[in-house]
Amino acid sequence: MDLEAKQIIEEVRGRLLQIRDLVSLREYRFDTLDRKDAVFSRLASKIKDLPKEERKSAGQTVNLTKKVLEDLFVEKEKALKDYFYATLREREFIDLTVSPDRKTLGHLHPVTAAYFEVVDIFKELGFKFASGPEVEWFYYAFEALNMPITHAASDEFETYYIEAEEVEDRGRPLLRPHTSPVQIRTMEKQKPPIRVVVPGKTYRPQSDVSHTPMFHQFEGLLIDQNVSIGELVGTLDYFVKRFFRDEGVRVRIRPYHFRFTEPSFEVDVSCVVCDREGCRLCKEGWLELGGAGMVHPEVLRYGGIDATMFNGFAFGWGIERIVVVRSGIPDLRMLYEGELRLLNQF
Amino acid sequence: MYVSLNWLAEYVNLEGVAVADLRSRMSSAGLSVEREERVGERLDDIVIGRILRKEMHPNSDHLWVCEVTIGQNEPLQIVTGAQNIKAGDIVPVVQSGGVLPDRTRIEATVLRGVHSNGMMCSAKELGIGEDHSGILILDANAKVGEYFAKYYGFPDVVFDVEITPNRGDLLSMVGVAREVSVLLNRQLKMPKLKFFGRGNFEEENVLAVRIEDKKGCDRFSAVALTGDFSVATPFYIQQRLIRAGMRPISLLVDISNYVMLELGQPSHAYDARKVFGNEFVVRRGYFGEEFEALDGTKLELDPHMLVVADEQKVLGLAGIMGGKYSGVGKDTKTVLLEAAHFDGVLVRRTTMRTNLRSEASSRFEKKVDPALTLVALERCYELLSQIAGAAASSRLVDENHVAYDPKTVTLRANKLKIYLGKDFALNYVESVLNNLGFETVDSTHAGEHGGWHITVEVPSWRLFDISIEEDLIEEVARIYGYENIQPSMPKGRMPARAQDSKLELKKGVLIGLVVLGWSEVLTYSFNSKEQVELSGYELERAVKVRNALSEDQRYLRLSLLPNLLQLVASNRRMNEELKLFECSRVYHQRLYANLPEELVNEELEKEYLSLVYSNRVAGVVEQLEDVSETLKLVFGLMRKNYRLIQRREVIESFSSFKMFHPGRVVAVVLDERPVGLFGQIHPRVVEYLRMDGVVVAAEIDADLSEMFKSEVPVFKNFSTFPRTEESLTFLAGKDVLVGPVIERLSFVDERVCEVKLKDKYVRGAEEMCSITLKLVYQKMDGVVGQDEAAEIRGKLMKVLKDEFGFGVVAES
Repeated sequence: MDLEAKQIIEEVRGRLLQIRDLVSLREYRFDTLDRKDAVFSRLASKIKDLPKEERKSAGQTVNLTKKVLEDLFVEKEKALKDYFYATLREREFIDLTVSPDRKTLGHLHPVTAAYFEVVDIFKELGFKFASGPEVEWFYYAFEALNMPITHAASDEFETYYIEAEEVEDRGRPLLRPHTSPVQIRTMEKQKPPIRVVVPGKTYRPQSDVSHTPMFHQFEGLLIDQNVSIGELVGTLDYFVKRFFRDEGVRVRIRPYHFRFTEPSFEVDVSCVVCDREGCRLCKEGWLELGGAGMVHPEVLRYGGIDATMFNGFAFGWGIERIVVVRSGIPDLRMLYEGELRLLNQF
Repeated sequence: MYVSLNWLAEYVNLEGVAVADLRSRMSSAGLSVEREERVGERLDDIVIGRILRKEMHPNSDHLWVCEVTIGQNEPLQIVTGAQNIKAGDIVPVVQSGGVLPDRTRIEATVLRGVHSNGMMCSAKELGIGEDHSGILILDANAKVGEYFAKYYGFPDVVFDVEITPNRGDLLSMVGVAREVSVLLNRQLKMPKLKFFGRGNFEEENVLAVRIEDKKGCDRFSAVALTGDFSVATPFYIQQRLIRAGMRPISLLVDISNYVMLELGQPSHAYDARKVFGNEFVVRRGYFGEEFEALDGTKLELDPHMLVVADEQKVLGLAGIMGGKYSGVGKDTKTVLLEAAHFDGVLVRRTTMRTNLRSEASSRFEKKVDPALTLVALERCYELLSQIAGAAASSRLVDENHVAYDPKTVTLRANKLKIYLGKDFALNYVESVLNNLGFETVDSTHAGEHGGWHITVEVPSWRLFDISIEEDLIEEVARIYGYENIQPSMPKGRMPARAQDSKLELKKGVLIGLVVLGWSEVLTYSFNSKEQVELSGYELERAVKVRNALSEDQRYLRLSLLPNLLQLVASNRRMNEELKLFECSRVYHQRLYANLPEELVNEELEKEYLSLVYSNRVAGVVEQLEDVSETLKLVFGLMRKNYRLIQRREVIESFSSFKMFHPGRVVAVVLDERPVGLFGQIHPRVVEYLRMDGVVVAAEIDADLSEMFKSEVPVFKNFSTFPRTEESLTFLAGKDVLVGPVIERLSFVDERVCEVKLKDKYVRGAEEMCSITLKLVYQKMDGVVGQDEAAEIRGKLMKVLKDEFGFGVVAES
């Protein structure tokens, strides 16, 4: 028995030396250990033919043999795996340096991307998104914003009008030339404190290097008690630092004139290209970004807000303008020509 | 407005003020200096000389030999080709060895045998004008031998100042000087005037004015002056006109322009001989009346336009431009000078309609101080009497209907503090306001609520601009300097939550599309008539723009597809695959919306999402599937129940169905509501856009923002037991719609957890197709065994047979 066990072990050991892969190893193990007529089973089955007194030691021999064989297989398996992993790189190498071309990423339009970004930034300061109609009434677009009927902006040269009847108390329908009507619509619906940001499409009958008949603006409106000019500057300063992703950028305000704010300002941002040294893009280191001001008491009155109790600030900037400045796009009209070679850069 | 600092210095002392400082002070006070130009630099070698003699060059028929004194003992001999000079003229001279501003060195030369020891210069050569047709002739009384630059105050700096529309008063040197004087805290010196006496004039020399439209013109002042108007305009005045961007013409025109630039009040000079009668009439134009302006523009007038006329003809378009045939010239002996106050709106509308603009009209548009008409005439009188010895030859007429009440405004300390974030002393505020021309009416150091208040009267030149307390706050703030205001974050209460879940969801969907390879474009909201019709709508439903820039942009769109398809057409050649989308509004004509009048028109604008797909190398099914898959993922993002149904009446409920291939279009249904169409674009439309092949599109014809509602996902228990899968094949007609079958089978038994199309095989000859569905069963409390599966399958087969009439041919 012992001899036979020894022979089996030697034979297995010899065969294992020739096995080079896991599949053959598993097959061989099955043939040797697990099958009903496996080599080992045949050995084990001989126990029952032995005399009773030899059976005990034969049983020990069989068990020992099984253990030895199992260890041999485990050892061989480990050796094969070690080899397999050690040579993995050479055997299973695949070139991954080239991206497949089946799927490409699309692009958000830069104006839309900025639209969301503007809303997100002002959200951090508690401004809520608001919107209003693009086909507006004269009342909301001009009259309630303290612009008299004779105001130049309401001329046909500056504003698109709709072929439709005038409506009492609302006037002529038109395409809004700015997002400011939403100031009044917001005040009609909400009581102070108000903080809204209003991005949206606006229209003016102009088309040249710096104008497209359709463009986007965003309006900001804050109404509360005792609002200061400093808070307006601080708010815009926060915005430009976030939007231009540069803590060094800052705003300055200069006196300007708008009918719906008093005082009114032109807002400049320190040039993002030259950092106030002066360059081809800016004016002495400053870039004009848009208008702002303290809400005119007459506008508050039109909005149904007590101007003796509350005041506030508002601003209205062109989204295309800040996009063009931030990304250095040479011609604003390119944004609307469906020029994919431009759009795909964003 | 161009502001020459040399000229400005006449009204306010600029000594010791650095140009850069002045520029930044002005800009921060609201007089934004856009550009700055230096004029008359490097004139160190130029001196003032007088031509003593001028003789023909002995060896030339176009050269002259001049003897020019520059104050030294020995006159210079200079050879010149200039034809505009004569002996006695005062001219700028550079001696040989000297250098011109352009760094050209003038050498002593011999020209055709005659020595020349210098050069007389043109305005252009000196860099102070454009004229190079001849030698610059200076004032007869200029001091010979003086350095030219020193005598005439060169170099000069010119600021280009942007004036806001509310500050018409700053379209004048005096107006700018007033601001600068306050900024520098220096005295403002007003120009000298000459008043008209009562005088005794003959009857025929009585001027009269009749204003027919007192709203269009509320003041009209005029006077006749007689003098020697043939003399040259003084050099400094010519120079100042040039600096201001105007062209010197002749004395009377120049003085009128000069005074306009100085005071901001336009005036006009008519030759008395060319005015019929002695009455000016200010009236509206007649229909068809003809008028030729000074610049040669011929106009047909109408009653929207205001004119100044005599008894017979139109003398000028009020506030804009004089007529060609009433102007003054060198031979004018008596001039009728007019200064009037015209309505800015009327002037603006006329300039818009006629395209005729002038320095005068731009001033009236921004409003002119009505108190100035007389002052302007008195200033002209002063200058013309000095220069041309002019005397009044008529009594001054001043038809004045100006009806502005004196206006007072009060400013309170606490309000100023709220805006500027800082306490201001009353005496500082008062001195700022007084210096700007606001007279104190009343002031108290401590009012009822603590703090001072001050009441001031608004000066005539700010009447249109200042009316409320905030206006005065601005006056103080801009002089104090906005840069001195401390920025801070908003201090007040935070309003309700700022989050907008609709917008968040929209952003998510758009970014989802981007990840799926779609590129967003933005196209104009406008459509042409053809595009509206192409999109399947009747023209009457579209909003029509009255003053469109072109017919291409006459209507507001009712569908995003026409513009998107246009983009496909123009980009297709360059791109094998195009996946474009747009999320924008469409606009419905109010009349067709069946909405109560009190609803705002917001309801008539809906935000659509449209996709167009074109792939030159993919098959039609592949392309349709790509878009279909995108829709599935997008609606998945929105967590919407979504179905595609191909029922004719549902599809045709969308006007845009006409844009789609009738056999390859489907309605998208979200939560039981049809919201749009998806399918292949009709070949007719493709052909119309001059394309060929397949274009696939989807338009979600419903307000997206309405559909975006953010719902909190709620946990549903799931089975932990393995799924049982099998498949079922049935025969159906060739044009079977499998979608409804799948949908129906999904609801037959709750253990059916998935029904999917596995295969669809068309048997050509039989006009039939066999459809294989993959079925998955699962339940909460155990494995669905063979018997149970058979039971479910039985139910499904019964539904297929009873409700659809399909016979099952195989099961596995």
